Amino acid sequence: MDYNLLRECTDKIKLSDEMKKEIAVACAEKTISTATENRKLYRLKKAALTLTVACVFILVTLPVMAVSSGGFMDLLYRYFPEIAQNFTPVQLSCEDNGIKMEVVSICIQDNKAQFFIAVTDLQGGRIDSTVDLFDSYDINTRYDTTAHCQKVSYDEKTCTATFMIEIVADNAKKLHKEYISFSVKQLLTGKNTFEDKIDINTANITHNPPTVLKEKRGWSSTDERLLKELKEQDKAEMLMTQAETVWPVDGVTITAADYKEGVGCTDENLHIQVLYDNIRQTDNHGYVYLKHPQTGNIIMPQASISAFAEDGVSSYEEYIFLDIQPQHVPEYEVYGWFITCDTLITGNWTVNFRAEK
Amino acid sequence: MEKDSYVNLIAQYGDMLYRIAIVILKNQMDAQDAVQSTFIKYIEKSPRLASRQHLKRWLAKVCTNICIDMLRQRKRQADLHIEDIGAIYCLEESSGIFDALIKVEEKFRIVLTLHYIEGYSVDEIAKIINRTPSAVKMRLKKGRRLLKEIYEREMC
Repeated sequence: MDYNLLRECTDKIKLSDEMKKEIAVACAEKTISTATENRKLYRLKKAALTLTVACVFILVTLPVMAVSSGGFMDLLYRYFPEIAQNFTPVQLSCEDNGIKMEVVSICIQDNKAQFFIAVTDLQGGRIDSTVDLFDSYDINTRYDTTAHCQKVSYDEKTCTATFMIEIVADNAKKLHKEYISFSVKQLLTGKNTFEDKIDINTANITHNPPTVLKEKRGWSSTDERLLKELKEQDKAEMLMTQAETVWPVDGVTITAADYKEGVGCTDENLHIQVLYDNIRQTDNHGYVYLKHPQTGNIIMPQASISAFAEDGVSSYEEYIFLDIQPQHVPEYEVYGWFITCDTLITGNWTVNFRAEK
Repeated sequence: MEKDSYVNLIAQYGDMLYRIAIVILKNQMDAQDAVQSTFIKYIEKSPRLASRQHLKRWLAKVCTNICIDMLRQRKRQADLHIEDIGAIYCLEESSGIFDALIKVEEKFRIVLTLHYIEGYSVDEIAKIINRTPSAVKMRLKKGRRLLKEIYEREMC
C-alpha cells in the first residue's frame, strides 16, 4: 500500500482566503491588545486596534486596488473613515535616484506616532511588491524612540509601496509638535524564493575533504552543548570549495558537500557548504535539508557556521547534519530553500516634518 | 531567528496547520478555530525558536494539542461527512485512502497525518505529541495496519 498517496490527496486541503483574512484580523486584535496591555496605554487601545485591523484588511483583501501616494489614505477613508479622521495630512516629499518618498499622514497619541510613507518609483520597472527598506531607515527626534516598520500595500500601476512606521518615545515623552526627521538609504526589491531538489548525488559524497581555517562570521545550533563549543572558538575548519559546484539559483552556489569529523563529536557528519553572493547588497539567505524520496521524511541541519568569502562581501554557510549517519545519507536527496534578491536601490531620501494632531 | 509577522506566518504555515486540524477534527469550522488559536498562542507566548524548522514544529505541536483538547470537549456535534470533505476539496483522485484515514482511531490518525502528510520524522513526532520515539513507531505500525484494513474493506 502506498501511504504517500495521503500527501498527494491532501494537497488540495487549504485555508480559503476568507479564512486567512479572519485569522489575520483575530491575530491583529490579539497583537494590539497584548501590546496595549503591556504598555498600559488603555486610551490608545481602541484606535490602535482598529487601525491595525484596517491595515490588515487592506493588505489582505485589497492588494490589487490603486493605492498610490495618498491612495492608501483614500482606501482608509472609504472603508474606515473613523480611523482615517485621526490622521493629519503631512504630504511632504523628497526625490533621489528617480524615487520619490512622501510622508503621507500622521496620527499622534501622547508618546506614540504612526505615519504612512509612500515610496514611488518615478521611472517605473525598478521596484515590485517584494520591496522593503532593508532596515536602512533612520528616525531622528529630540527623544529616544523605538520604531517598527510594516509594509501595508503595493500598487503595480503606480509602482508605489506604502509603509506604516510606528514610533514610541521613551519615558512617555509626548510627540505632539515635535520635529521628526525620517530618512531611508536603501530599498531592496526583486526577491525570489527557491525551494527544490538540488543536483547533488548523495551516493558520491567524499570523506576526509581538504579544509581551511576561517574566522567565523556567525554560527547557530539547536544543540546547547554544541552551541557553547562553537561560541568558544574564534575560527572554524571549513570545507574548501570543490572543483565541481552546483548553482541552484542565481546568487547561491553549493560549494562543497563532504563527510567531515569534528564540531560536536568525533564521528564523521555530513557537511554541505553554500556560498551566498554579496550578502551586504542582496540579503541572500536560506538553508539546505535532506528529504527521503519515498517516505518524505525531512532531516534538517543541526548546526551551521558562516564565514566571509575572500571577496569580503559574500558569505559561506556550512550546514552540519548530526542526526544522520553517513551510511544512511545516500537514501536521501538534498533540497534547498533560498531567498535571493536582485535589486538594491540606494539613495538619500530624507523628509523633515512636524508631528501635529 | 528573526520574527515573522503573523500575516507571513499564516501564508507560510496556515495550510499545513489546517490539514493537520481537519484530519484530526473532521470539521472545517473547528479546524479553522484550531489554526486561529495556534497563531494566537504564538502571539501570546512569543517563543524564541532557533530556526524555521523549530518554528514549524512548534506550530504543529501546539495545533495538534489544541485539536486534541477540542476533541475532548467537542462543542459542535456534527462532523463533516467524509464525502463532504472530498467534495469541498475535490479529493477525487486517491480519496479512497483519505476516506480510510479519517476513519482510523484518533491517536493513530494523528501520527499517520504528521508522518505521511506533513513529512515529520519519528523523533519529531515524538516531540510534538510528547511520547517516546518507540511509542510513535508502534502507533505508526498499528496505524498503517488499521489504515490498510479499513481501506481494503471499503474498496471491496
